Amino acid sequence: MFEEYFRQYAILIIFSLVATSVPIGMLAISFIAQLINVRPSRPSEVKLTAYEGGMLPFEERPEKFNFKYYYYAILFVVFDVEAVFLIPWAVKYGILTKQFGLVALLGTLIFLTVATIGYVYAWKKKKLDWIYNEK
Amino acid sequence: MIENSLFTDLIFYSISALIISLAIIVIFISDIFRAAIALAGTFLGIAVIYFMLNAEFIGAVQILVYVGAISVLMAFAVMFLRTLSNSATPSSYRPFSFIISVLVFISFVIGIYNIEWKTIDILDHSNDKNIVEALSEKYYELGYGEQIYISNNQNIDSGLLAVENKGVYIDSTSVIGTFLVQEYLLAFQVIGLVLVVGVVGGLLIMKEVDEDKTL
Repeated sequence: MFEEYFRQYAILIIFSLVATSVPIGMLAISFIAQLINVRPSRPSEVKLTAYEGGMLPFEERPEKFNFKYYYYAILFVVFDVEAVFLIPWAVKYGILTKQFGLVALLGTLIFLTVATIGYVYAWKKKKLDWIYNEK
Repeated sequence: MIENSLFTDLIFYSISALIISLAIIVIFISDIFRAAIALAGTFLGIAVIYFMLNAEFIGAVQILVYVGAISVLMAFAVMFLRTLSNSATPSSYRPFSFIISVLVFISFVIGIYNIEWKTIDILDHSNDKNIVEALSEKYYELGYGEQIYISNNQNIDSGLLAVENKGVYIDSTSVIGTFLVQEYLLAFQVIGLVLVVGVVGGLLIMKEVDEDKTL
């Protein structure tokens, strides 16, 4: 049992071990370099921002955060969930058509149609444009 | 098959400890960015638990949707905040949210205690070899549409359509596919409706923001 379990996920476990140890090792080497005075330590305000070296943040408080950015992430999540539900259906589609006939196709077709209505609505309201005219 | 060995126990307890400690970090750390990273770690740990339960599909979905998408949502919010450590001010909704959290926790506890954990019990105590075989090796679905029944052998004489399925513990993805078309067809459609509600609800909030001119 142990053998079987380990064999199945051995590659995955080795991969995740390497994937975690590389960044941790880098940080550790950097820290050791600081201890023996090879790496200088000069923190500044820009360096300590969340995205160091990226664009400067422009808001102080979360209340003023523009919802538009969030909305694009939400659109992505909805597409994501939609795709997730298509996978198990697509894996067995050939057999499902034999067992259930047209229901297998129509069920998913209706699901996709209903889920797309939201996008059509957003498109009609011109909310999919990044900059839109408010008329 | 679900296995009980020292190795799996070791992984389970260490992953559980990781999940709980990361969740505590999410609650108590004042730096939003670190909280978001810790939350992603929590989701990843839960995915590992799913893999240990032989629910590979749910585990992959957990990584795809929660680690991939929800964490991106959090990172979006963090990107535009200047003083991260000062931005976590105590909310005035605290007593209200405390009550809600306690209620959710109580409902979880009641739910977990009242579920009959059938399949695990069957594997541990049942002597019925047919059920164990169907779950961990293979079973056959005979017939069409509404008249499908499940059998351990192919029954070629009956003239029915016989579909070979691997056991639930080997191939959980295709079992979910069958259930989406068969038993939970209505729930499947309702999920589509919920997705529409998500998109349209987001539009509604965006409209209010535009009217406030806080662009």
